[in-house]
Amino acid sequence: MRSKTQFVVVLLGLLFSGFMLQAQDKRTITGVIKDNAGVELAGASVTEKGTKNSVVTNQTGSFSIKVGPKATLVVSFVGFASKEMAVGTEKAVNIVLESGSNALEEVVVTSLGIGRKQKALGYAVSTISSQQLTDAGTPNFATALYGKAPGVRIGATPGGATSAVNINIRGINSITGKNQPLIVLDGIPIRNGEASNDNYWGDQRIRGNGLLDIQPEDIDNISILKGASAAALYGSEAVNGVVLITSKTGAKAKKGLGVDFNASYSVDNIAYTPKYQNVRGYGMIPLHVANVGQDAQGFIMVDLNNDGVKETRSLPNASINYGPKFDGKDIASWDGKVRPYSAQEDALDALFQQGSNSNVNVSVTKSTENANVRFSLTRQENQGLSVGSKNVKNFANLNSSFKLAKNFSTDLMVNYINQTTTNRPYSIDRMTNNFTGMIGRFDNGSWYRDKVLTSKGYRFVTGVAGQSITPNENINGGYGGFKGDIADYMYRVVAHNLVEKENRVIASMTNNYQIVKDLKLRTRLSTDFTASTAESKTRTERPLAFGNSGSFGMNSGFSSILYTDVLLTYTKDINDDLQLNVMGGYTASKENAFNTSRSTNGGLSTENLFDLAASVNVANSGSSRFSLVKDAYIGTANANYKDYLFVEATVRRDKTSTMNPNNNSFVYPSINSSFIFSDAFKMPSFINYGKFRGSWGIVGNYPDAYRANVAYGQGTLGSQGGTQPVLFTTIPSSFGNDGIRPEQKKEFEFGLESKMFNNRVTFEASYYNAQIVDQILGQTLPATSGATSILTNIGTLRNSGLEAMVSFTAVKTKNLTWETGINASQNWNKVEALAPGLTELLHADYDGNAAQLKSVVGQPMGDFYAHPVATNSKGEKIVDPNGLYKVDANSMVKYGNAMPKVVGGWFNTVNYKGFTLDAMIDFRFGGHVMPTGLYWMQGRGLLEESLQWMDKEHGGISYYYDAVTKKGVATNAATGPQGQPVYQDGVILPGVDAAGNKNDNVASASNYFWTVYNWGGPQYSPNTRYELYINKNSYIKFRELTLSYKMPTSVAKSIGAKNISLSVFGRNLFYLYRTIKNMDAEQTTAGSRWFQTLNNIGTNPSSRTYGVMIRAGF
Amino acid sequence: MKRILFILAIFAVAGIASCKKADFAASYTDPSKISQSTVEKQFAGFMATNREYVLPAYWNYFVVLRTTLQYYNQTVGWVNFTSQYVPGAAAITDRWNNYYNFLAQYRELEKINGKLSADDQKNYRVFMIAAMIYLYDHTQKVVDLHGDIPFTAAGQLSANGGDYLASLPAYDAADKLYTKMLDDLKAAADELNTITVNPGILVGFKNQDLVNKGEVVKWKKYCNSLRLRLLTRVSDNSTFSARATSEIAAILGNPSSYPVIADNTDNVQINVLDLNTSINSNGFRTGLEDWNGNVAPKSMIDHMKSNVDPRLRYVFEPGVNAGTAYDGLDQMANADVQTPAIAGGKLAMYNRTTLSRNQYFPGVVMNAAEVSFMAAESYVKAGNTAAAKTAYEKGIRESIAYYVAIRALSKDATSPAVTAVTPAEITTYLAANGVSFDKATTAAARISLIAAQKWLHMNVVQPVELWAEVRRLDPALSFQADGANAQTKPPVRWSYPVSETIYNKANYAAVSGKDNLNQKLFWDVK
Repeated sequence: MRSKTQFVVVLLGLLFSGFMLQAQDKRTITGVIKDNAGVELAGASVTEKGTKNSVVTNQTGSFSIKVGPKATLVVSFVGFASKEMAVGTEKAVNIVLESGSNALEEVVVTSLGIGRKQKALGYAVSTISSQQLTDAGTPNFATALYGKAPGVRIGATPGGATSAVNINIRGINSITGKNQPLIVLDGIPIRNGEASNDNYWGDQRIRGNGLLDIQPEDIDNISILKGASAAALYGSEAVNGVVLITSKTGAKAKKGLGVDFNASYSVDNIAYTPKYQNVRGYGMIPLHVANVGQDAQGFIMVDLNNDGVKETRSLPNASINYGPKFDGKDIASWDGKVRPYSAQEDALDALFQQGSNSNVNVSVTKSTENANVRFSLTRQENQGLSVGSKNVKNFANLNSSFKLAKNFSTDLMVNYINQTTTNRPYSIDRMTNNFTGMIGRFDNGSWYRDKVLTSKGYRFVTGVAGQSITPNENINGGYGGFKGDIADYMYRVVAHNLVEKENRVIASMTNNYQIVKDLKLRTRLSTDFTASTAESKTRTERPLAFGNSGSFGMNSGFSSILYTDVLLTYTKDINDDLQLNVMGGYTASKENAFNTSRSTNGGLSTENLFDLAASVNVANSGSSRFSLVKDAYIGTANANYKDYLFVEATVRRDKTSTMNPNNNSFVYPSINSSFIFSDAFKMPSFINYGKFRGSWGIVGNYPDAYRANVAYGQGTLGSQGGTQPVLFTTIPSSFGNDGIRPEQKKEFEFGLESKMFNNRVTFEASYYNAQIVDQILGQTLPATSGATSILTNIGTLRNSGLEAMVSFTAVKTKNLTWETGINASQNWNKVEALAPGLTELLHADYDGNAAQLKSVVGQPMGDFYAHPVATNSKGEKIVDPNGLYKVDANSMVKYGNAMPKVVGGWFNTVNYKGFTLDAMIDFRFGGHVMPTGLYWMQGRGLLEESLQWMDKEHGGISYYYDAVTKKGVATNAATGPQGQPVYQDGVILPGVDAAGNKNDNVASASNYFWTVYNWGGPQYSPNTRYELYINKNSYIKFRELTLSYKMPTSVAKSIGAKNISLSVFGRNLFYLYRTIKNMDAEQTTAGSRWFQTLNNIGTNPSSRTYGVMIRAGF
Repeated sequence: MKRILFILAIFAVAGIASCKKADFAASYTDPSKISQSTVEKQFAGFMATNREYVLPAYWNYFVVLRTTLQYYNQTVGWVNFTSQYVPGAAAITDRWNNYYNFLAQYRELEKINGKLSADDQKNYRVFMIAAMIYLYDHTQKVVDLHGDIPFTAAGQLSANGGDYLASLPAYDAADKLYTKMLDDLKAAADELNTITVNPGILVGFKNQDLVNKGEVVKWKKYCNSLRLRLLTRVSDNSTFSARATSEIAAILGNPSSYPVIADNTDNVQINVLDLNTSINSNGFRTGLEDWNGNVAPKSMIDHMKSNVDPRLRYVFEPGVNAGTAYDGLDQMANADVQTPAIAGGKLAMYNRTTLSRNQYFPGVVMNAAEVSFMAAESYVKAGNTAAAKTAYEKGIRESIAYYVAIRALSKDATSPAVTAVTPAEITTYLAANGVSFDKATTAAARISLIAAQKWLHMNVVQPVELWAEVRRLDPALSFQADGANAQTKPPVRWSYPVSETIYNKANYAAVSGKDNLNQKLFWDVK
């Protein structure tokens, strides 16, 4: 009844107002809108203030509008400050818009989703706009951030759209703990999670993290809160910074209905593979180096036609590639086929597939007096490089706001993500980090692809005698260099099937209530919950008669974050100059997760029957649960003096269940101030804007759930012949600590922001200094103490750094504008203290003490140590009797540090008429990595580097091998004195033998590479030099290039659209510079924690992307 | 009115997620864990902790043993390679860490027991004695691998309330530890003779005892047999020889007070009853078979063939392409000869039905053959050849019966059925040239016969004990020298894990001088 009445009232009101408008006198005003360079602006909107009366400027920037008396025109155009102009009696006006200056009044989203004026902020916030995120068609927002915000470093795990992406803000803040920022979507913390992809034996598939579920097309902007003060309201969750995502709403839309359409398609191709040699195949020529049964030319003979005569040449089985040079003549490969002996440059192709990504997004916005709504649907399909991997995501996003009463409004946001991931990329670890999986140059993935399934659909069998019902299909494996690891990889991507389905809902409801004029109440309730299932099917590998094989597993999981906050805000203008704002609030969240799984045990009872019913033994089962509660009281106070001096203080007292309940609450204060000196003082005219800011704050980090509590694990051994099942308890070998305290980061920061020369130059710089005390880490213990690690508060870290950004409009004419900007940040990291009595912390001991990664007090985290070449008392290098340098087993020397020094980006945007070219370059300097697998490939003779000294042309010395003295002797003769063969691949290393005599022993280059780039510490490989594996990973990469064309409005209109633009884009395009030529600089990213990003190149190949995109508005 | 409704609505929303004090406490503790335990439960947890080093399991066989003790014992044939005599860090660290976790569980048991009243402690005494015996068995193995180890001060982190700096343990000298264990085990043997167990406690003991099912008599036999093992091991060390001689004689001469494992029915072992529990041998298959880890060594096959060993068909089987011929891999051959030999499928391998695919293979702790051979050795040293011969031949008979019995447990039929062993066959075997005790005319020759039989009996089943005996008795085994590595022959001890050198630095420093692969154990005097 009431609504009906209201409806009638509204209707009457509308009619009445229409009548009123009709009744007024109207007159026409014409004019031209230009920018301050005098260029006419086409498409600017001119509105009569307080009405819906609006027009758009034409191609020459002119307009004509009918207005009432005493009208005020509001002129606005994207990228320019809006301008209001009261028109008196004049009929024509010329209006000049100032570019970019609207940024000063721009509202930036800060903690808890509170919008604040940019100029009032006393700390650095980087804001990234929607266009910057979507230009190059990235499937998730994080990979669109490369180089776009100072102090923010992105690292993506190879493998495609389902692989985890790391975000690091202002260096690494935790020695062994989480390094990832808190991700907040429209004011609510969402699940991100961590991924570790460096443990092949624990998990062979490349995992992702939660941020991949946020669709860039639905994002309006991203604010990155970097310092402690900026993030202080998030207290104990903000030690790594906060990424605030604001999704698009209907609020900014023009009144009425708007429809936007966007579609993109791109392909991923393998890129940045090592530079392989194309000269020789498996084996070894000098027999004295390694005898694998080869003849002097490096071949072996095989009997292909089973006549008892070995008539066909082939290569010996070897994982080294110093065999005979390619000659193009017939040879038997391991699959029994005879082919020309030449390099297989496409060897990798058949092991992978081409990746592709498509994204189609339609959004509808509608805005009315009392409500606005945006609804968007997106479908994303991503195919990874890994054979059979595919990911399909459907996103539905609703963002709406209703004004229920004059002083009460409700915002509703629902994000629904439905996805199916089939066969996540399979780790290539065994093909990069294992000698027996490195594909040689006369070997081809397609040969494996043809053989991994038998004609009966079973797993391939090796060995002539291998048990099989199709023995004639068995892979001989006795010659040709068959690589079981590659066959195994190929088999698994074909025969192992994993389908993960996930439904995720991120939804929130926010109520705003203006209680009285100065008092506002806001409450928010939100959830982020995910229900997931997974089914894993691995095919039956062999006939049942030979034993049960294959498996089936089911997994179901649920996780949820329930979040709420209540904020009461009081605003008071004390006088004309001073405004106060006080806010108090409460926030709480509850996280829950559980997971149950079951799988077959002992193989499948019926071939390829994928169900638990097929389990031969009682099915395995597993489960896990997790719950975490947190809450906090928060308070802020802001003062604004004359709109040029701002001060804000915040405090948060939070509590978490991951800490001992008797001591789980901590207080996080912060203060910041901003001073707009350009408003306070008279400045030279070229300075349009100047701001100085300073802040200080504390944020923290808690231990992971359940890590602190010390308790017994319990279980059952089942019945072991007694009357009862045997129940048991054990104490954990990772010991907790009920007295643990949170990590605390105390950071201060200063900054300067300025705009100059008619706003054509923008400059920003910050200095920060953060000390992180009470690092929570699992201190490694000797097992002899009773545990292998204990949770402790030890260690102090410091991160200090500089961030700077400058951008300017280099060219601005009627048809052409060119904007460019560069940002860079340098971070200095230092370990200030560790556990009492400890000066270093070992993160990893690689390959049997070949190298170590450790953090040493007084140094930045992550020093790489390796054994140096041994020297005698005179400092001369010692050469072992085998002609190679001896490695000093007793000392280790620092060869590098893992922390990057400088990261940043350089963007360029050129507009010419309807064309826009966006180019994004990002860079990183410093920071060592040790991509061991790469150097092993070199050692196995696979890379161009290992051709050095291979013959005269490559600088090799002629020599013969004296089997008695076991030395190589340089010679110019055709044979040695006893008729020994003469080889050309000699090298004499400068140095001395143990007795101090100059080294004259000629080593074979093959032996040199094979041995120097081998596996293991001196105990295993006394001449293997890991110091050569540790290298700086600096690069300048052409990250993104987009060329777009905006169709003339007339063309767009002819097909019923308001605007249409087409673009082509490329990502990860090429390097302008890189220090490690044989890999992509991000290839070693294999986990969320910093120490998981340094060593392993075995996740998936890197890729390069090209795509096209269309955008249309209706 | 409307205002109040708005406010109410707002706070109702906020109330959904607000937290109460009890919520924090409830989410602090892991719901799958408990804060209190009992002697019974912790006793079972202690015994279960090192089960994968007692029952054949994948990790122990594939990672730890395959490239270490199986080589040094030459109980398998493998392709020679560079650095083959240097034990890998993974093998050393994993075994070491498991032992110290096992010790930590024992210390926790002590802690739980220590909090009981004196009365209850008396009641639970049988648990503590049994736990100590089992602990010492495995401690002795770790001493035999490494020499000096942290023991008396080790595993105390929980007892020290998490004070880890106070819990970094000093090393105990190997010989001192042997002395302590011998003293404690002697006291335990005497105490077990007088103990009476509360029937109520006994019910729990029988249920929780994975090794002897609560049979106190079997613990006695285990205890005394273990004493025999320790005494035999140190018997050639001059400071221990007198004690060894007299205590061994006291044990063997007084079976009513000091019973030992006399025949296979007394064997101390963990039986596999249900494959669906974690007490199983399901991992033996991949652990032993993967990467050709089950290839028969020529030395062992030749010994068995030339003396017509009835165990040959039980312990080994011909290669898949070998018909009925048993041939082992020649360890003195070069890799280029060995590789195709293995690939050809003509080499014999460990019998898959009896061993690797026998999911009911028991966790061997001590057995009658082992004890008989120790008795034989002590009789040889005492000059009592007749008794020595009896014990020696009993050992062989028990060993044969043992493998026959183990095969009978198997539900696997991969390798063909075998013909039963006849008494006549055993008699013939005992008279064979390489076996006959009578044909050995010197004490040294007799000891080598015993050593050879230990090697044949323990093979891949008891590698740690066997390696100690191989080092102590030096049976004739030939290894190819590794010219490319400083370690040219099998080592005589394992080095310490890297974690000790870094995290227990100060205590490690005291033993670092002895931390090399060629440092002999104190009992390895020859």
